[in-house]
Amino acid sequence: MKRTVATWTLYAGMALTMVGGAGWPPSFNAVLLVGVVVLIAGVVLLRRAGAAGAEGDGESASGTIPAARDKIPALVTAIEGLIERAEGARLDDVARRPRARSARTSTRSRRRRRSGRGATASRATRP
Amino acid sequence: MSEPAAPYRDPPSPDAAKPYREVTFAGVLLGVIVGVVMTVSFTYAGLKLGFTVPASMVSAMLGWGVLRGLLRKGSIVENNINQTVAAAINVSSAGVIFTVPVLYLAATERARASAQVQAAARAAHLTVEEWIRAHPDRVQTIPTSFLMAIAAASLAGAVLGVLFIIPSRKQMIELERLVFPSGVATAAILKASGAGQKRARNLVYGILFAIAFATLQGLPGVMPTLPWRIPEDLDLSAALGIPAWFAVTLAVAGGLTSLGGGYITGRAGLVLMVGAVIGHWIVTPLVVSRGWIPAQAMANIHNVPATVVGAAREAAIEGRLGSWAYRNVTRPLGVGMLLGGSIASVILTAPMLASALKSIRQQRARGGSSQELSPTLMWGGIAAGFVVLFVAGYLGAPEVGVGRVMLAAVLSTAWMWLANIIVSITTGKTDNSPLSGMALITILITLTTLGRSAGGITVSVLMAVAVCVATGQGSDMMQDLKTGHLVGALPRRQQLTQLAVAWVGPLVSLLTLMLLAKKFVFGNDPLTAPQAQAIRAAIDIVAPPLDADDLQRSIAAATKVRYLVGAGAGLVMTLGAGGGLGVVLGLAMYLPMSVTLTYSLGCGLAVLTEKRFGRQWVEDVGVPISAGFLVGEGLAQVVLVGADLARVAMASGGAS
Repeated sequence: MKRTVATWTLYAGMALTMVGGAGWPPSFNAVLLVGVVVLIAGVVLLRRAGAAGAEGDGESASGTIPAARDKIPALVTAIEGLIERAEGARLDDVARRPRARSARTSTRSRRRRRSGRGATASRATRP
Repeated sequence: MSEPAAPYRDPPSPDAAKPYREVTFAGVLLGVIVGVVMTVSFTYAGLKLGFTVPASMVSAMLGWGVLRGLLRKGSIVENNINQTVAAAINVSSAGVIFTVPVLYLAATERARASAQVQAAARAAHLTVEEWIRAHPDRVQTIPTSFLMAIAAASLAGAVLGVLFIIPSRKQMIELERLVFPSGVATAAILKASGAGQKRARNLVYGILFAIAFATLQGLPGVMPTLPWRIPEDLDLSAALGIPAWFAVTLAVAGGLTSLGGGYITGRAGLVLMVGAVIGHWIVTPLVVSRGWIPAQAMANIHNVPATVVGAAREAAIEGRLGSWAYRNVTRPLGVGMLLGGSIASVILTAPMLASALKSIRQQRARGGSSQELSPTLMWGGIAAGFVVLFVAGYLGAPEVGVGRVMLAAVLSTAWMWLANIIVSITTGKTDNSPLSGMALITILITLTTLGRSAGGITVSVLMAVAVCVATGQGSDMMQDLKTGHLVGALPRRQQLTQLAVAWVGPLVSLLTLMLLAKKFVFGNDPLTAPQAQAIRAAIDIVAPPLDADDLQRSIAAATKVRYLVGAGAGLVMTLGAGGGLGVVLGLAMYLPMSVTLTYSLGCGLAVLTEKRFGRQWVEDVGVPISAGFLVGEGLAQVVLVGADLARVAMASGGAS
């Protein structure tokens, strides 16, 4: 609720500021002043609600792309999972070691794991 | 009693003696083809929307379709080389479309102030803007020698961008272990062979549909004898009985690009609609209804041919009023917000500067690695790139003098190195890279060094082209190296491959831009070039144009006020609320309503389909088809422009 009020205060401030800046002949008038005050109030409310940076853009390598910042915690968790899995079984490890022939559950594999050999080799990373 | 187990030995593998497929002819060739096609497409899409889609994921999907699906022999690391090549070529399109149109915008500005153009417009009963839009080839004139200088600057930027970032690989990827979300996502696609082939099929369906749609819409423009006509925009204002200056319009030409872009962005993109509502449904109608238009401009607006009468005359005047308010009021406010948002993004990256300097110190202390490119090759390449950049600057504006151009090149190269590291760290931590902000700083640095003369502005823009291309290349190289790290590729091979093809992208993008400049006036629908407009606005504030009449001087003064109001709002919103909010809302005010409304429709579709079919369906079907829309429509539009120009050339050749 707090976040919604803060966000819409911010947008209202922006609208007033833009209307203030649109007049002809151009002048720094009262509407503009009120707009700036409301805009700053929106920013303060948003920061108090802890929602600053919750949505917006990412100017990626290819331009200004609005990015789902609210999805970032889940994205980071997913990425960390991927990194852990990938780094646990890198291809150069596979290339340097002899290839594990049998499936993980086979007796030989289990025996090898007990003896500490080929523990990081995985089919998933083989090209 | 059983015998003791014999020591285990792996049986010899039939593949053990063979090196695995990595840098292969098929992989590199596919990467070049995909990279070139995407550069052509995304140069169009980027000029229209202000952003494009990273090439890595699209090429990784296509790689599975072609290397494994058709050729039946692709490996993960081979597909990684394919995506490295494609992304290395395509990434330069961002650097080119953010900066080079600034020069075309300046040429249009000169034409707007020209007495000849104004007289020609009056004689044709057109406003100056309408006349300019009808004659792009007579307005956007840039000498060929100068285009060579732009090409040289962008080539130097591409090579320097790759070379400057190579020493940072170990620090950023292996020691600091920066996230690089797009690089990780690409690695996930590379490892998912089955899903990759399915996505590749959907991507191709999207491309084919978009090509068919764009051809159907655009072909009558190339072959006027064809019996059908499809409008460029679907104007709903008239159907709803509201005035033309209250824009309710959907894009048809380039519509799939907007729709696909919106779908890929998803729910987060809906915030654009807020900016569009403020700009197109509050500010523009208010300016028209309150009559905030100078008298002389009002007289030009009412100069409609006497043959147009009744309701048609009223509609034409309404359209012109809306167009004037959008161009002179709403858009400058939006450009100002873009400018303020970009400056704020750079301020927010200030902590990255400390990381960059720390990274450089640690690299020096650690020394080189056998996995990287040789230092001799690297330093030789950097020296060659610097010389090319200096020559480009001198060719662009010899009147500035050797000493000052040399100083500008030295400062720009030093800034390029630092900016490259800052952008790579920002990309690594957040997946954002403030390229246009870096270009803006380059222009301010060089303008301060060279002064505000026309030559000074020219050299500044050339240096900005180089820095923008370089920072794009650097962050892309780092994303690709992260992907390579995750799939077990050898960094040196990736670095050499990227270096070998980095020069292709700027040339393809520049040629596409030159082709489009013959058909469309940049800064107008359909190719609005938002980032270039923001850079142009910054130059106008620092070095205002001198040759203008009374009306233009008063409009320029008002425009400057609007830039400042917008910039203030953009700064407050981005610094206060974070997340680049000012940039997004500024972009929404700047873009035509047809683009934003269609884009928002795409965002809404993404939300609906995710609810109906689930996230997996969106990732496997919706997003690849949407990416296909962007690639296919951009490609078809560029081919149609080429065909139209060829037709005109043949017709004039036949006539003479």
